[in-house]
Amino acid sequence: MALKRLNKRGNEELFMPEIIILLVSIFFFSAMLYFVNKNSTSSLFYEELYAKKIGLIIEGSKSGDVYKIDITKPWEVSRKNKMSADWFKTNFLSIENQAVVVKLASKGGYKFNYFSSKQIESSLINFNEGRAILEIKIK
Amino acid sequence: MNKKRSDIIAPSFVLNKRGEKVSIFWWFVACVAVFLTILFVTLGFYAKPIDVRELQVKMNYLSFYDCFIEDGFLKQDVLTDKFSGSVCGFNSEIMENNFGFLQANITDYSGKELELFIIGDTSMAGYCDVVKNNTGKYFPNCYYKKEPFYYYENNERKIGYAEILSASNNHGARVSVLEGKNG
Repeated sequence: MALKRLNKRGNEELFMPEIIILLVSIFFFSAMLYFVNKNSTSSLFYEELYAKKIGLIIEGSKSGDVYKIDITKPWEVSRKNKMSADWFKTNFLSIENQAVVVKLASKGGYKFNYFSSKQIESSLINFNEGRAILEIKIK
Repeated sequence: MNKKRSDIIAPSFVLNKRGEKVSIFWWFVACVAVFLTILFVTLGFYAKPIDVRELQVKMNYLSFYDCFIEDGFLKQDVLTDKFSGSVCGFNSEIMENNFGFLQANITDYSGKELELFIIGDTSMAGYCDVVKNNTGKYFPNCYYKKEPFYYYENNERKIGYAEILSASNNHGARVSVLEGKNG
């Protein structure tokens, strides 16, 4: 067994350098996994992604169009930030002076301006079978 | 094999499968190198702004084109005084403040200007000339196309061109964490 060596008397003993290397390796790779996971589920990334996505949808829309957008991933990120479903429904999307503002935490958010004068008639978030769906109707 | 006491407390090497000595120092350097590589690649990917300017300029180009031309014909009211580029559904003020620009030069077959419509930040036009030879990330994204169309003049069908330039340097912005503490 790699972690055990025989000493002069033939007894098994732990080989210290290998244990140290093993522990340091575990520390290194755990730190890496944590870092990658933290970044890939960061609210900063998803706020920007969805603000731009929704902004472009509005930019390319026509009057009367209705869009259903799957926002399950940002909802999961928002839950990680300890935000309630009610908070998410009220604060996830807001339109301010032709800018889409997406928030996944109580502080911050991302703002993306669209150039067309289109207005949103209604926006509604529904939770269905573990999925969050945003429904937008263009005026 | 007798091990030195100093090797047990602070080992300077370990043995690999073939029994060769591998320095802990180089093993540590390799670990740090892997860690730093992953750190910078991850940071580079997630910290990089999501660039949607190319999509935005193409969408705006299409909307602007549809505003003047329908089924290959210039819309009848385009060459009248009643028509204004702002009726195309773009907000000039928002475009000016967010580095958006649209220009449509409507010409006849010989290239004589019939109408010129401009919306947004006019400085973008100059940058777009520069962009032809440069692709720096601080330059706007530009899309230019010259499209032919038919139009009627004195009941005679003629061919003209719409030279449309759409530009954007709109990156969006992060909302300050000091704003809107409505949690």
